[in-house]
Amino acid sequence: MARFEPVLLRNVGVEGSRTLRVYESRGGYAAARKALTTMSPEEVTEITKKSGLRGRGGAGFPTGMKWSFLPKDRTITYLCVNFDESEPGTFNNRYLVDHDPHQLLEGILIAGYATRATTAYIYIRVEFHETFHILQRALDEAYAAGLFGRNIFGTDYSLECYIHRGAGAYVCGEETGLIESLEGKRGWPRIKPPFPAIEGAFRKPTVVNNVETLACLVHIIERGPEWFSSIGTPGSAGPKLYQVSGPVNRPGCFEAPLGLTCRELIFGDDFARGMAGGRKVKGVIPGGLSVGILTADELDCKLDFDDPKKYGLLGLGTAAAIVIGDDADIRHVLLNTCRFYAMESCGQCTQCREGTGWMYRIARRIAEGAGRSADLDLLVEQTFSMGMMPGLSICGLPDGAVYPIRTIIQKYRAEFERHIAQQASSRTVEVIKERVPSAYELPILGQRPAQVTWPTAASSGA
Amino acid sequence: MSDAPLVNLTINGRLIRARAGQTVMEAATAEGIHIHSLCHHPELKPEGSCRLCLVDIEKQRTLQPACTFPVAEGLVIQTENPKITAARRFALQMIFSERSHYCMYCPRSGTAESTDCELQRLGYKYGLANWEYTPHYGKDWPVDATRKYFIMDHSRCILCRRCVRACNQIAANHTLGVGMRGARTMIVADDDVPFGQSSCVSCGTCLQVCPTGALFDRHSAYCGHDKDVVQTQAACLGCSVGCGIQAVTRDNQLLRVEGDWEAGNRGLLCSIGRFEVVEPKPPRITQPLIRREWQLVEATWDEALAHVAARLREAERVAGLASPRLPNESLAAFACFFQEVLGSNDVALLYGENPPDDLGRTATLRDVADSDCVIVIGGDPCSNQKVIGALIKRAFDNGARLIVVNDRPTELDAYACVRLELEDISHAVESPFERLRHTYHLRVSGVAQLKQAVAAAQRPVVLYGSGLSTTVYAGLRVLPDKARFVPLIEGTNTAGAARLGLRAQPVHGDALYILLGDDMVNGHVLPQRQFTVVQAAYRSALTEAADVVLPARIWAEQKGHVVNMEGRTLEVRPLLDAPNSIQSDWETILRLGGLMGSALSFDAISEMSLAV
Ligand SMILES: Cc1cc2nc3c(=O)[nH]c(=O)nc-3n(C[C@H](O)[C@H](O)[C@H](O)COP(=O)(O)O)c2cc1C
Ligand code: SF4
Ligand code: SF4
Ligand code: SF4
Ligand code: SF4
Repeated sequence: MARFEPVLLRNVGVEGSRTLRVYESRGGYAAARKALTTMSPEEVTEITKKSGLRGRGGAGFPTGMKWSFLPKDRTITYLCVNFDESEPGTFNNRYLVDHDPHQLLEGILIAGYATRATTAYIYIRVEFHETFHILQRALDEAYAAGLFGRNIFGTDYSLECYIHRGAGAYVCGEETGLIESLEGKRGWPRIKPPFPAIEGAFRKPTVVNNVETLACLVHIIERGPEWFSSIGTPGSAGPKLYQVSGPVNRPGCFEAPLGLTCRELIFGDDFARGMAGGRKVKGVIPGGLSVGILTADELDCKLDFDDPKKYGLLGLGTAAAIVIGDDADIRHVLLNTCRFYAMESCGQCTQCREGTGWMYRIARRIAEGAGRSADLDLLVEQTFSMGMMPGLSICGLPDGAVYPIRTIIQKYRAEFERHIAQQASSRTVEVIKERVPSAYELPILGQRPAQVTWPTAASSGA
Repeated sequence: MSDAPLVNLTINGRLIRARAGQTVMEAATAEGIHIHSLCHHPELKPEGSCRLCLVDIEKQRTLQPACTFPVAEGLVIQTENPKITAARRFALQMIFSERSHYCMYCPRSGTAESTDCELQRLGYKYGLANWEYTPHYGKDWPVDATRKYFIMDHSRCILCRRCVRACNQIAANHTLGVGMRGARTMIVADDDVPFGQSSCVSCGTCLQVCPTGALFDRHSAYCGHDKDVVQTQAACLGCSVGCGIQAVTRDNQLLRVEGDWEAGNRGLLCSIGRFEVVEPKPPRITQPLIRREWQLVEATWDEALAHVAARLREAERVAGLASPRLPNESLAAFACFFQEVLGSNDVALLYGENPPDDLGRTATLRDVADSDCVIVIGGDPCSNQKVIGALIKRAFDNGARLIVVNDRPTELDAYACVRLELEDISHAVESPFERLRHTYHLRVSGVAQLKQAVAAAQRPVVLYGSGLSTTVYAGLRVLPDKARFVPLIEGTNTAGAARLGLRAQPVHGDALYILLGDDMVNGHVLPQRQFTVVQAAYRSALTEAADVVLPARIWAEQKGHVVNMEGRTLEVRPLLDAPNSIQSDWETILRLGGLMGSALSFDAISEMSLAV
């Protein structure tokens, strides 16, 4: 494969790439100028639709289509930039803004214009202190150059842009959680409908887009939708920032057309360059934790929006591969996964709040050498009862939780069973005794009676 | 809402109609179809978080919560099927595995038929006979008993957040919130301080909406299930608001008082109406007492009444004082007795301020809560008519403008967008320069500001206290017709008393007859008279200083009427049986009148009180 000419990362490594002067000297803000001065908002939306751009924030929703849900007769529109980036293993947004903040700002101008937004809020994860200052400096520079504010490029389009620092929760990356947090409330996702396009920030029509999604817009306007859709695989157009972390030779953020295989990403010379220290791959979590796991045999999975689903995964996610070496204990992978979701569930919905907590505690027991194979069955069964898919939650966090948990257990069942078979049989009782001094004798502990003979709801009627 | 278009939908095979904008839950409930839920409460904004009200809607990819899903033309909905049952059972299993629901120790727990716990009821219904998900007793959930009247046991809390919403949306007090995340989520007060040290005003609304035994009150816990008690609709006699209550009684005991959702106060009560009424009281007076040799000793009714009649006849002039807490019937009998029997007009209310002038166009409690511009002149509703205070804050939360005119600082100042002194509105007549001032953005007079505010609002309400000067009244009378008025009356039935000619003013006689009822007026010192008779339910400083004490009924034993601040006549219903020996006030007064040789009749009294 011919070496791919970087698009999103074209300014990385260039001296002074964070400054407006260098950005403009390399063609920066030409796309925004083109959009604002020669196109109507509808045309920009049309071009975006035609390009086949799908959201890079995780869900992969077609961006142009999302914009067209805005009510026609709106007067105020807000654009929220989702820079919460808290999916484990993910750092493409930060990488992009660290090196090239103006690319994001230009994308905001274009998206703002297309949606006729009056105000844009960049919701940045609070832990990104350095990045925040880089972005703030760039925004100040852009304001000083008249790129934001009133009558941009002499047109009658005006856009204010503010950077809002988040409050430190994974769930604030969920679009309605983000909106609540932006409004100064507890970051609790809202019930939908109404969707943000109808009633979002401050109860006004709102669009929420990821940083990378917005950066793509610059290039779509610059080079045209046909060029953009010619990159990638069918249904997954454009370049994508892939990230690799874990015991590889060269962890980092790499750009490639959508559809790169997982194997290429880990072993390719342009990418992570293979495993470090003679390890073998045990598995890869290819798209941020929430998508699930691929085993060493499944590395030919193409990382685009559709192929991962064939391997029982949620989707592409954020294309952040967490590589797990063969020296890792799968029980700890499970434990870490469960702990993350248990800590990050916002606590609104019963099933998510309790389900994630319950899973974590079971995973902890398994990791401590007191697991039972019945626990594994119960965990897998539970993954089918949680989340938006069966309609049991307000947001998608539990869906993100069940995919890794289910795939880890299903794909590495043999290893779990081996550990369980090997663990000292007394250990189970010891651990339970430590944790639950009074309850370990309960006869029902963890064992499910064959049949509950209580009149069920269905038989007794409504 | 009522003019929203009708839509047709099918629930469980039944074709029903609903108004666009309603939720599936509302439409179903209106048709008598019950959908289970734990976080939903008809008086609170739906939140869709417990995930028990899930229903199966055709063409929807997933199950949907009925409490938030809007109705639409042609929806086909199932409220029970195996898929829903499985989802509900899972949710219930999760809830039961989270904290320690040791039902046998819980005041709400009961059998499948008798339980008052909404969670336990669903547990029975969905056959949760065992734990599929092992409970984790790892964490000790705290019990917070720092509040005076009720307790929170976090281990029974299911985080439905009805309490949080009640505190924010109904009580408008914003004490409760949620702390932490995930399975460690907790209901917290203010910045996570013990409830007893928080900004909680003990209105008890949270207690009333809690579906489980997490919140329970000290007085009535373990005293009976809903099926054992009698619930009676009545009116609270704590102040002139006259909130609608549901009195919960059992075996002639008042267990608990709950707010009536249907009444103007919409379920809200204050700590006086909800909790203080069941607090321990001073010793009850059950027998007449006569002072003999410096001691009050028990006597028979005949003895006591004969003694009183003789002494009153001896007196040069008899004065009367009545508590404004008494119903019209008692007050009418008292006033009649003075007029007809004693021929004295030296009769007044024991305390309180005379009601403010009636300005007409009276607003109701509902108008206050729904108003978009509230003007409070004088008075102090947050201290004296607490439910009104809360309704004003609720209107404020919903975006109403609040203007406070008062010479004293009050709690409402913090909410006011304009704060004036009474002096500022004492000039009813607009000066010719007023328009000029306005044009040049100069400070316009107070009355002009009020007029502007009223004119700009759609549902303006003016609340005004007692003791305002005539110039202030003149200012109020020129407000546009849109303005509706509520007098902030002090004392429960001051309005009824005023209609009977009883006002708060000094009395002079050498003998004194005090009609006290169950009023608690500790701290009242009256000048010593030749002879004092007190008709009261409880012992107090007043009875201890009396020459004769006659027993009286308490509010919950009375029958009659009072007039509240809206000018509505409220019925006072007997909730409890009075002890045999204790007659109602008017019976006692009639008997006394008889002894004093007058033909006071029941008819005359009831005519008088009916005229009120
Ligand atoms: C629990 C949860 C966390 C999320 N976190 C992020 C995030 O950190 N960054 C992000 O861009 N999108 C995140 N999303 C996805 C957003 O909800 C939303 O789909 C996205 O911002 C839309 O932007 P896009 O269309 O540009 O992808 C999250 C979703 C969920 C359910
Ligand atoms: S699904 Fe989980 S994270 Fe999402 S709103 Fe519900 S409790 Fe919060
Ligand atoms: S709250 Fe309900 S389920 Fe919990 S202990 Fe009490 S009765 Fe049982
Ligand atoms: S008693 Fe009233 S003020 Fe106190 S927490 Fe409950 S609802 Fe809020
Ligand atoms: S205390 Fe009661 S009302 Fe409040 S969240 Fe817990 S269970 Fe619900």
